[in-house]
Amino acid sequence: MITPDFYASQSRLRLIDPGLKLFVALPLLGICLWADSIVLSIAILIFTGSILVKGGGVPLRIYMKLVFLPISFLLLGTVTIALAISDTPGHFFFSFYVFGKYVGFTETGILQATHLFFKALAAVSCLFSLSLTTPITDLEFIARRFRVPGVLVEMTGLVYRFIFLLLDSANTMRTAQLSRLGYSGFAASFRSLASLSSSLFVHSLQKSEDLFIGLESRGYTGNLTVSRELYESRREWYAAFVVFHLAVIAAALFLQSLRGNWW
Amino acid sequence: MVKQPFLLESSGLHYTYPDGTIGLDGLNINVKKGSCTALLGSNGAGKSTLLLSINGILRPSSGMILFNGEALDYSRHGLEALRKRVGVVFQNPDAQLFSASVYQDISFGLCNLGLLDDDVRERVEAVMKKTGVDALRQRPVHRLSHGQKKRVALAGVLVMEPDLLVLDEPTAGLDPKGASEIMHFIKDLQAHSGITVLIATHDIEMVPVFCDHVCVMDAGKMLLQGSPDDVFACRELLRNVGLRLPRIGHLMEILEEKEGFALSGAAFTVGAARRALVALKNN
Repeated sequence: MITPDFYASQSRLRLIDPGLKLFVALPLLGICLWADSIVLSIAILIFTGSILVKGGGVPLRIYMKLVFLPISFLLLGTVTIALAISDTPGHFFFSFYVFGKYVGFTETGILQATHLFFKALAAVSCLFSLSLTTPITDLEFIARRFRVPGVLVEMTGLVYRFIFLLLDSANTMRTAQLSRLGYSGFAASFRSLASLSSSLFVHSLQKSEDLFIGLESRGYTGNLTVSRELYESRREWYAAFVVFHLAVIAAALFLQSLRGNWW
Repeated sequence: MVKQPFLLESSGLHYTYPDGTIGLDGLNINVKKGSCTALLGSNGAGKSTLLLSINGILRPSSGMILFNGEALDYSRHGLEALRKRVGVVFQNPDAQLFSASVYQDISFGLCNLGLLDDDVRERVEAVMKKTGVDALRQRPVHRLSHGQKKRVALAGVLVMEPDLLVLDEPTAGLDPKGASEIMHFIKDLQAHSGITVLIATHDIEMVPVFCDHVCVMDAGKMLLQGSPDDVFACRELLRNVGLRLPRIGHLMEILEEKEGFALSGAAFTVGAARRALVALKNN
């Protein structure tokens, strides 16, 4: 299974200030969506991809897999956008005649779909440039910096940690049920699933009580305060990326001024 | 100030769970400063109840617990101070590790003590090196093995530099190498820092090797306390409460009683048995 969080915690860029990473990824995402330019989208895709592969040390194969993960979804979506229906075959360059209507691709439809396709890929890659370099535990500090209520941040962290414990327990219980033929028939499957879910619930309650005792023993007083590792952070980097973002915006404006539909 | 020989003393501890189960029934325990004390007892003997009473999670309905000569103070402030000095490592590390980041989890206890950020960082880094979890920082906690999680849990307690380290089943679920490594680590730690260690365990083989004092609990009471040699000499008593001798001790018992070996005294470790048998051969 590919889990982004694994590559995030192994990333060579992990100890870069997560604030900076956010400062790179989010504006870039915004520009990419606003500019709606194929050339710019491809450029952003390559830029974020090379940051991850060259800088972060994510294997190229894994990066490709992750970026193209939504591809089937994306293709389905864009193809339906490219399709158009009309009474006359006039402006289609490829069409079927079905039930007295023409269904096919128009140039504007294909253009729109291609724009959307690359925009979506670039946007996904922008987000990966954050999620493949920053474990969720580091994002918690940013959330705090942005004054997200502490309770919410702590809950997020705990939920994230306990998803895996819950999955683990569920797996173990299911294996135990399977080995006693718990899923051998339709009725048996329902029974087993019902008892699995109810015992998971009780199990979670028990685990949360255990955790509470564990935390209390280490001086828990209502706040899950933790220290963070030292991040590498420099003002110059922020400044450099302000310039970078401005340059990208300028490039986008320039591409728009060319008035070509295919840029 | 009079030097207290015992770090932990208790007398007449009673605790009954809300459902009526009796956890402790007049328990007395003495843990010497700097000792490595084993706490033995069958399942349900009250070991866990005792461990949770020591750091004030459970409050006995009667009886006294003295830590370093002072009665436990159950006020908020008192409990905070107590938990700083008594570190408990639980059997299941997943019950203790709440963060997905090794570093952050270890720093939790220190942050609760209200230390400065730089001090926290320094101590966390130091303890990570000492416990050998430094290399694990690049992995989310759910990607660690059981043994690695146990180490991280131990590091998260040691970082607070407690006076009393309480370990619940430190070797359970570990392979022989992992179990031996963690016990040797604790022994080394004791040699360097003089920390007092209390180990609740079912791993009887480990007791005569690593511990210098043994407490045997049964049904919420203290059955026996003493050196491993003294405690394991009470064979029948141990067997009556669902415990046994270390295998070596059992073998030596059989050799002496059934096979007529003229052994001088009991032996419970490989080393002691070897010495006894060599002595026999040379005579």
